[in-house]
Amino acid sequence: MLKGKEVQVPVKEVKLMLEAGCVYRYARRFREARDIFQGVRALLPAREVADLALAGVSMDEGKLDEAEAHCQHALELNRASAAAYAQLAEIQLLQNNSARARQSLQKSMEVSPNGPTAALSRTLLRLTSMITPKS
Amino acid sequence: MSEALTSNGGINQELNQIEKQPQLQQFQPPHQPGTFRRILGGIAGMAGNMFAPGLGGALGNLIGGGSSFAAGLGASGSAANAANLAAANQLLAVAQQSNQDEEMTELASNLEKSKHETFMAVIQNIT
Repeated sequence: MLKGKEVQVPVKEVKLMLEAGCVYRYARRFREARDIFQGVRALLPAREVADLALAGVSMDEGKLDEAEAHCQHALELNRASAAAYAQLAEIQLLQNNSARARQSLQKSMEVSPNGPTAALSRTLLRLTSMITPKS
Repeated sequence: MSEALTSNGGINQELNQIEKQPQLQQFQPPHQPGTFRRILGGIAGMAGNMFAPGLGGALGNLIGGGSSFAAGLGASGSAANAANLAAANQLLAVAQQSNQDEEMTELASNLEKSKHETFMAVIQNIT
């Protein structure tokens, strides 16, 4: 059982909710996905995972400023979240801000040099180098 | 006697002709290739020019027996070399574009996969 600020929630159910939200997001049913992730955020207000998920939904909807705000909130909750840095970098890339995206990716790789987040950061770095013209 | 002489003379003539036959055969024009072979040579020349400019003419001549028809087609193939070269360059450009597209598709696929795996890892890390 996880202890949020006020309620205790079973881990398994929260994970299931997040996965269901992901399925909705991939199906581009953003309203349902957002409802689920906001529910998770209410259950786990001290965790960055719901904000990360909401940032993904906002990004898919093209609401980049909103997505960035969610990412910043996720980073406030957990400064050592490599996934949040990687997500922020992707948003910054979409905002045509390659320099800031590169910085965020470097932070992400510093926090987590191995694993799936590092693979994502490497792919994003490659994309950044393809987008950015070489000087 | 005269008949004998004439007959002898006829024999001599025949003998002379027989002796000359190999020489005549030597001076005969070379055997001309058949029409089918000449056409085949021309087609081979054109096809050869598509893949290896310059080689087609030689190939066409070889198959067609060096006839003027095959040579003509080979020459026309050679004249078309420039067009073939341009087409080859176009094909090369298309192939390069295709490679770039493939690379971008692979990158996009890797990106989506990494994003999913990253989020799943975040979910799994909830304890």
